[in-house]
Formats: sequence, C-alpha cells, structure tokens
Amino acid sequence: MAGQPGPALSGPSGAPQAEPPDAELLRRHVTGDQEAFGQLFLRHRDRLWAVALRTLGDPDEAADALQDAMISAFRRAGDFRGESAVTTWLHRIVVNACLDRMRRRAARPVAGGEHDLDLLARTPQATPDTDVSLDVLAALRTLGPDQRAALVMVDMLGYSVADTAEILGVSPGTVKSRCARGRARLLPQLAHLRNQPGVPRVSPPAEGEE
Amino acid sequence: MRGHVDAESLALYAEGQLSRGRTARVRAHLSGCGECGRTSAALASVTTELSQVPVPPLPSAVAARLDAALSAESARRTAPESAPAPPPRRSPRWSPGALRILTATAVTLVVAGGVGYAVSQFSGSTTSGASAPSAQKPAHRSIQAGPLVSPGGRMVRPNAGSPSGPAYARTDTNYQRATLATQAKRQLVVDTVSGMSGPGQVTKARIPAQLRACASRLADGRPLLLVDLARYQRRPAVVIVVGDPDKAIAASYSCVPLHSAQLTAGG
Repeated sequence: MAGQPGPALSGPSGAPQAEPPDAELLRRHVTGDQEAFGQLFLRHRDRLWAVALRTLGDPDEAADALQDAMISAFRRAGDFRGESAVTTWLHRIVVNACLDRMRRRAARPVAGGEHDLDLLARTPQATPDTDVSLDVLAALRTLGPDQRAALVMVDMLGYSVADTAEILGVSPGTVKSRCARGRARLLPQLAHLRNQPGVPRVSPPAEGEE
Repeated sequence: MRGHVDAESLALYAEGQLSRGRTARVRAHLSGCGECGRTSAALASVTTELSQVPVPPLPSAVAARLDAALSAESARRTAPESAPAPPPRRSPRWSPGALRILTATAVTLVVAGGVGYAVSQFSGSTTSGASAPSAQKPAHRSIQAGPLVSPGGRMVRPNAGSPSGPAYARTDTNYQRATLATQAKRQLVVDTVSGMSGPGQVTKARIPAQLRACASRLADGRPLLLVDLARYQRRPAVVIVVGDPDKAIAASYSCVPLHSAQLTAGG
C-alpha cells in the first residue's frame, strides 16, 4: 500500500476500478460507514504527506499537520459539497493546516535565534558530493508561507497551476506570481549549485520576440 | 531600459504576469542583453532543481500514528457520549534554555541510516546481535527510546522510521570533510557495539530542541540513526546519520547543511 503512488488529482483513469470512487467513499463515511474514511485517506496520504513535508520543511511538523488535517476532514466530511474533487478538498485542508502552522511559527519568537547560532559560514562552492537536495530544501525554508506553498506544489511536486490555484483558493495568476517571486528569491541562494556563483553558465536566448 | 532587469521582473515576465507595457520593455531589453538572458535561464533552472529533489515516502512511524489517530477518532464517533478529545499530539519540544548552554561547544552531527548495516560493514569488530542488515530495524537504538504510540494512541516521538529512534551523542569528534562518512560510520559502530554505554552517549534531553529539530529536518523523513553534537572542520556542528540510503550530514547550529557523504561499504 505504501508503495503505490496516489492517484492524480483529477482521479484515476484508464483501467476499470474495482474500488469505489472518492466521492462515494466520503458519502459512505458521512452515512456511518466505519471503514470508508480510512480507505479514502489511505488512497491519498502519500501525496498529502509530500505536500505537508515540503511545505513545512520539517517532518515532525508535517506529521502533526497531516494528522490535524486528517481529523479535520474526518469531522467535516459532511460539509463537502462536491464543488471540487475530493482530492482537491483534502489537499486544501492539508495545505491550510500547514499554512496555519507556518504563520503561527512566524509569529512566535525563535528561541536562541538563528543568527547568533550561525557559527559556520556556508561553504562557498558545492562539491560533487554535496547533497544538492539539502541546499535546495534549506533555501526553500527562507521563503514566506504563500510563496513556498505555491512553489512546492507547482515546481517541486508537479501540480498544475490550475489545481494549485483551486487548492490554495487563489487565482491562477496569483499562483504564477507567487511562483515567479519565489524563484527569484531562490536564485541567488542556489547560484553556487551552478558552478559559477552569480553567473549561471547558460547560453543567451536566441531571440526576444516570438 | 537602463541597466538590467531584476530577477523578479524576469521571473514574472516568464509567467506572463507583467503589465503590457512592462512586458514590452522587458522583451526589448532581453533581445539585446546576454546577462539578463542568462538570468532568465537560471530562473528556469531553479524549477528544474526543485523538481529534482526526491520526495521521501510516508515514514512508517507516521503512518502508524495516523492509523492510531484515525482509530481513536472512529471510536469516538461511535461513542457519542464521550466528549471529543483533541487529536493526539507529539510531546512538547525541549526548553529553549538548553540551547544556549551548548552553543559554545558543539556542532550537531546527525547520522541516520541502518545500524544493522553499519555493523555488518564492520563484521570483524562486531560483537553480537544487530546482524540483520535491515535499515528498518536498528536493533540497538534504544537509548532514549520511548513507546512510539502510547496506549491512548498518541505519538510520542514521530520522527525516524526506526521504532527506537536515533542515538544521541556528544562525542566532540572533529569530523573532517574528506572523512565525514568514515568517521560517522565509526561512530555508529562504537555506539552499537558498546550499547548504551558509549563514551559520548547522552540522553535526548541533553540535546537542545532546536538541534533535534534541525536533525529531523535534515533527515527529511528518512530514519534518523544518530545525532552527534560534535565539530566539523573544528567548528561546532551537528552531525547526523540517516538511512535510506545511509548518509552522514554535517550542519551548522543554524541548520545550514555543510557537507554530506554516503556511507559506503568500503568506508
């Protein structure tokens, strides 16, 4: 079960399904079925975990957020009106749980402070055996909640702008803007991954017009 | 357009999120500016870099915790007379005061990975036990182990994939860049062979909460095998060992990753 990837946001397609669709499971849950919600959540929890982990950047917090969201979805299932896909609804609950945590965390003073603990300067240049992923994740943590959530969904986990917009409850243009600003903020922090700090080695574009 | 276009405008331009007038100006500038063209390409590669970060699967410990919480919630639903309890929570983190005590001396070393693996690599010096090379079952990592899920279904420590959690140590080892993996592996073996009485073994409470949280973040959902407050290139650092695949990571106290190295069979 853990090895199976969750279905795409738009729902599984192709092979005929022996399993009941998401909406049917949710309906059964609301009408008292003891197993339905577990079955539904199991189907999506790997993806939801990825979203929570990458949005929060902390496995402990991600586990808390995912659990909060799961219980919330369990209790609020009766409120689901079918205006969006069940997966979108589940994602929205998880992302909101994550954003709530990030905002609470931001409001809380950091004990000890990050700055006076910065005892070691960042290594100026990546070496072949440096874990690029660690650098990317560390850089991602410097973004604000909104930019981070958008960038995680779209660039990191490959959700479409449209799906992300629906999950975040904003317009597609807002998702694009948040992603763009997030990329610009990450750019200098990831420059060292491209051999020459500040001067990425790429060829200039052929033509500005199309 | 004088000078260059800032990266944010270039990023917004690429997403079609600039006004019509600015779009035209940026496009005109880009057609004649190699540097801004390179910045645009670098912005695109940020997306590539983000997309290439692997996503770890749901750790089994978290899955177990979710299952327990769901069972508890279902039970509550069928017993309506009992007041709904808040969802299970993890235990609170440590007091912030502990951190300052350690900052003068330590670097955090986080080592995650299969202890059984590490032992099997050093079969010549192995005593007994922990012989199964299963990264999922670090048999001797019970130093500060608490129950994963309390009788009430509450997760006590939802971090690593290992039921017993990582070993915490304060070895003051001076890890070096070139030998990080070898030194970390040696530390794992020392801890494993000597059981709970390793020289640098400390209780979890002696590791500041922030550094534990840092270790957890660096482990990124992978099983955390060792957290060592030590030094890296003579500076205070945290060194951790994680599993899946086994890897040693050194980070500063501010949780900036400094170096990582795979724990290879050769050492």
